[in-house]
Amino acid sequence: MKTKSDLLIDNLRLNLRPVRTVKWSSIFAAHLLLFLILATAWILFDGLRSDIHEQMTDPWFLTESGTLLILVLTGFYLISRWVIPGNDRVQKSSQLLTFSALIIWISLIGFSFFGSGFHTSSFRETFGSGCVIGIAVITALSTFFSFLFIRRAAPVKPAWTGFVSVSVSAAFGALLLHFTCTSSEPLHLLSSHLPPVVLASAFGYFLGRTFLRW
Amino acid sequence: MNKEKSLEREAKWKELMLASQLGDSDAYGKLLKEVASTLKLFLQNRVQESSDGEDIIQEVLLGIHAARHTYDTTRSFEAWMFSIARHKLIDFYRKHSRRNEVQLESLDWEKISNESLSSPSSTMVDTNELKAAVDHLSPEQQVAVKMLKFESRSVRDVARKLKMNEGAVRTMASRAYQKLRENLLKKK
Repeated sequence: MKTKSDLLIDNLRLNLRPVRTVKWSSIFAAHLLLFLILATAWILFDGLRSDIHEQMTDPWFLTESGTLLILVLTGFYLISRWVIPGNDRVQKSSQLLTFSALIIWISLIGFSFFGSGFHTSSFRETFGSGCVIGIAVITALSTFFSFLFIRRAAPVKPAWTGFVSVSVSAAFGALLLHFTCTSSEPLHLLSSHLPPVVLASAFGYFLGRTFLRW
Repeated sequence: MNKEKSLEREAKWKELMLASQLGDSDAYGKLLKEVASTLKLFLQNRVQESSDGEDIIQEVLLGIHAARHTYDTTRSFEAWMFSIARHKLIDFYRKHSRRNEVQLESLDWEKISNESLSSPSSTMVDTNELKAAVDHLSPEQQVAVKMLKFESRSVRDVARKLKMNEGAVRTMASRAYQKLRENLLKKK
């Protein structure tokens, strides 16, 4: 007598269709392409900040941007490896790099705020709803496409993949805003650039658990 | 000797998987049968109830089917397959973490599916109770339970029939089982 598994195997065998394989490199390439398209579109839409030439020689600006760029690139790499089963246990270095970059970026904003000796303008004056909305829009767009790419594969860590995907999308938003927002005030970064990234990251864990299960 | 056997098996599975990715259903059937018997051994010490083991094997087989396009033949098949098995095992226990006393999953679905539910000669009280409980489900849930459990159809088939995605079908089926458990408990 056939067991339930035998019946299932017969069914699966009969429903078999040839498939095109998906490799981690194609998922990574798709994320990089998304990065380029969204970056170009956002800069065309919002325009580069007027003091960009001065900022490009400022070590603080370059450190922050570099940290965000490392976070975005290692995050995309990590996601691309995680979504292919069998690769999930061998990515310790990229996990460490991604999470370290996130923590370093948060710490940099914290240091710049506390290092400024609290001589900043008031919260109300520095808060920029435009930046919050900008980061939220970029995060939403990037997350949407990233999830589409991820769903083409088979993430064996859906919740963590969601967390990293949304964190990276939000960090990507913060990186773009770094080049378009004219304020480098520590309180502005703390009130308008950091919270959307932190909130989105936390939300990403639940989004991943809901939408990346298969 | 064991290492040699394991390497031989790995090479064989890789070959069968490659053929399956190209659409060879015989190779696929052979591969899934071998995988199922390996999974039985893998799950022996990891699950408490044999019915759970059978359900997990089915989940893993469905997982392998759904993710077969992600297997890269230059990499280890076993690592790929066990990664899916671990994921499905964790997922299974997460879904079933809040178990009721009456374990619907442990009912003899095989026996029930072989006896026509509509047949009056099928006088088993459990079967009639179960049929009545199924009738109280929503129409979509009824279709899902009947196809998955009575006809042993795949989640993909149900998803196609109901025009839903597979994740939604699994969630809906899980809710339907929960509702069935509650209904059966109430009657007791």
